[in-house]
Amino acid sequence: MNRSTRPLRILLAEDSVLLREGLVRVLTEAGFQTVAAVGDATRLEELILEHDPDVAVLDVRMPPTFRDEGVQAAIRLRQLHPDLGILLLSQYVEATYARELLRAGRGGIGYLLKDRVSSLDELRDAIERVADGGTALDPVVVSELMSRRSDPLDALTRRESEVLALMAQGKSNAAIASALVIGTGAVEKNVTGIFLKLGLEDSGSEHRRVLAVLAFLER
Amino acid sequence: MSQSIPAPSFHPSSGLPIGSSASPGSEPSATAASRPSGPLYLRLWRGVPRELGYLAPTWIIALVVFNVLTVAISAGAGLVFLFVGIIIVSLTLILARYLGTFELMRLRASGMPPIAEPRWTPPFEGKTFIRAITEPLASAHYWLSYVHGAIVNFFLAIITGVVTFTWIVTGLSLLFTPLWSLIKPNDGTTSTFYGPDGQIGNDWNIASLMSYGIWDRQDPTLVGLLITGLTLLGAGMIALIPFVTHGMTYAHWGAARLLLARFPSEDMSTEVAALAASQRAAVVAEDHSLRRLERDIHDGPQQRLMRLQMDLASAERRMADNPTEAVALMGSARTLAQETLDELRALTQGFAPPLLQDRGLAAAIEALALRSSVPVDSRVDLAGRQLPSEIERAAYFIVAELLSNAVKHADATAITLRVHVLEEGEGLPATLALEIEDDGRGGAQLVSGHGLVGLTERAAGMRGTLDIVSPVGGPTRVTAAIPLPALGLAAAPTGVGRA
Repeated sequence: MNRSTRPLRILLAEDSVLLREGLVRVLTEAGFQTVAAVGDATRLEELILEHDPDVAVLDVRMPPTFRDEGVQAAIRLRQLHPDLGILLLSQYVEATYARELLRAGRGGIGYLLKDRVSSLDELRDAIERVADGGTALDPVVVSELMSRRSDPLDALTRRESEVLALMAQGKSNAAIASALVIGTGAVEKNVTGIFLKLGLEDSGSEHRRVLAVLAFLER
Repeated sequence: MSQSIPAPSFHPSSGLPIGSSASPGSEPSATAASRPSGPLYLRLWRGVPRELGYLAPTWIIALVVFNVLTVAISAGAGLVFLFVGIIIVSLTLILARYLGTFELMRLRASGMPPIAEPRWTPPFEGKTFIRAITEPLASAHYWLSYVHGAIVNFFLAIITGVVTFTWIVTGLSLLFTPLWSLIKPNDGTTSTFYGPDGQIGNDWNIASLMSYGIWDRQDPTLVGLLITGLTLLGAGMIALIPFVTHGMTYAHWGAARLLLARFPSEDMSTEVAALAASQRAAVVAEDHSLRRLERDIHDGPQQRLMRLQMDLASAERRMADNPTEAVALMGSARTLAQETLDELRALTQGFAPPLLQDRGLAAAIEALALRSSVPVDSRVDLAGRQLPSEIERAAYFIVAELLSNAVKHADATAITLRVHVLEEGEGLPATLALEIEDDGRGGAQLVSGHGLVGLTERAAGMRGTLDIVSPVGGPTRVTAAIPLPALGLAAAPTGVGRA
């Protein structure tokens, strides 16, 4: 991987010119290189072959029907290009879409509210994680997923459910530790507790853990 | 052919197929092609008792009705130059109306399809004397009832009565006369059957009359053939009884349909009234929701955006002399912007849920059910139909509101949700049916201003209905039905994803 030597290459599909220009600027500011920015999802495959991006940033509603083009394109691309990271940005998030995206493949996937883009750090963090094969789920989706499985989650302590929520968003142990202002050791301990209480197998790698947690939540 | 006849028993000397067609249920299958098939034929037979129950008293009833109405109208007509004659005619017409209603009830009981009555009003209630008297005189329906009772049905009853009675009696006697000669105690003569010795005259009247010449020739084969033929004719007539009773009842039904039924234009005006009511309900509901939307936008995002503009303006002013304060102001401006976005999102979710727009009703309802904090056992089956978006929206909000009611007000711990399409039938259009049941505390009521009334309005706006059964102590069961526009199965929703 020569990612350390060159900036991550981004393919952007967003139909609103206003937001597209804003996103290109923010992405550049965050240190990424936008190789192509288009207004719909029809030519994504060609563009990927042409530009070989690391991450595709997609809007959900795009022409021609302005429904869930972005989600459909993401599901398609996950199967065609398992190595491509995909980040969906949307005005609203739906747990239904999150579930479909997670089920569609194993590569890096992100699904965030567009509002999150206003925080440069959050956006950079999400894109890097997705490029790396990790996940970045919006807190709104996570809380919706967690509210559904209230029964088994009731057994968790408050701290454990906080850790679980952040973990489900795709955050690393270090990121969780700094978000909750606790040590990484404490995070590890909580993660072990969570996996024990939910009856999940702790697979070691952080990405795989996240997937296990998400699989549990969307079950 | 004989295989299909159960246990045929032939008379030893004449070869009479006694058991052949005596039981009509065992009509030879060879005729199946030319006559209605077995099941329909059996169904017709099953209708025979009810139709006979209608036809048997019909001629007496029709006769009485004819006499009463004719005498009454004659009395009234004779006295018409005195005011009392008019009253008598009017009362006669009112009587004819109720007799017509009675006839329709009898027809319904005979198993015929229901006939919609005119939209009668009570004859006297809430009317002035003059109005009560003149109204029947000016109403076509009253006069048609009179024509039906006093003229048409009477003559029809004579015909149908004679035909039915003659048919059945002739059929039975033709069929059973030879049987009778078998069973009849022997009066001592050696010959047990017909022949030149005179028994025929006692046992077989029609045959003896018709075969007088043949008898003279003393040809037993011809006599036998004739009797066999007449017996078969009797059996055939018995076999055709269902068609006769059905046809005769149908004739009465047709006359009633013509004279006692509501005019199509009346249905149309009812339809128009229902449409107007439904449209008003829709307009009222829309007005409410638009007002609420306006208030929500005014109280929320609009205020925040104005404050945002003010904050940004002061940040702009302070940029030069007090950058620290300017940055702090811009931070709060960002928070305001975020809050505005959240509010707008909640608002759009409130009238145009994204998933509903993107994926349609089934997906949106499944998502609602998944999101509910109380477990929802949901089953959505739209039979591959693409519903009009306004119906999807109405259905979605009815379900959403009911689910949240069950969680918030009823303290339910389990909710059952069923959404399915009832195909059209019995003159009813295809309908989207919603059923939601919770095990909560019940006692939900339609109180003005309460959410449930809004839902009823929403359903009414779609020409639908919403029913609530919610005894105190639960369970609460709400059913809603929204008629779907008449069109065949739309192309199955192709998923929105297209390559």
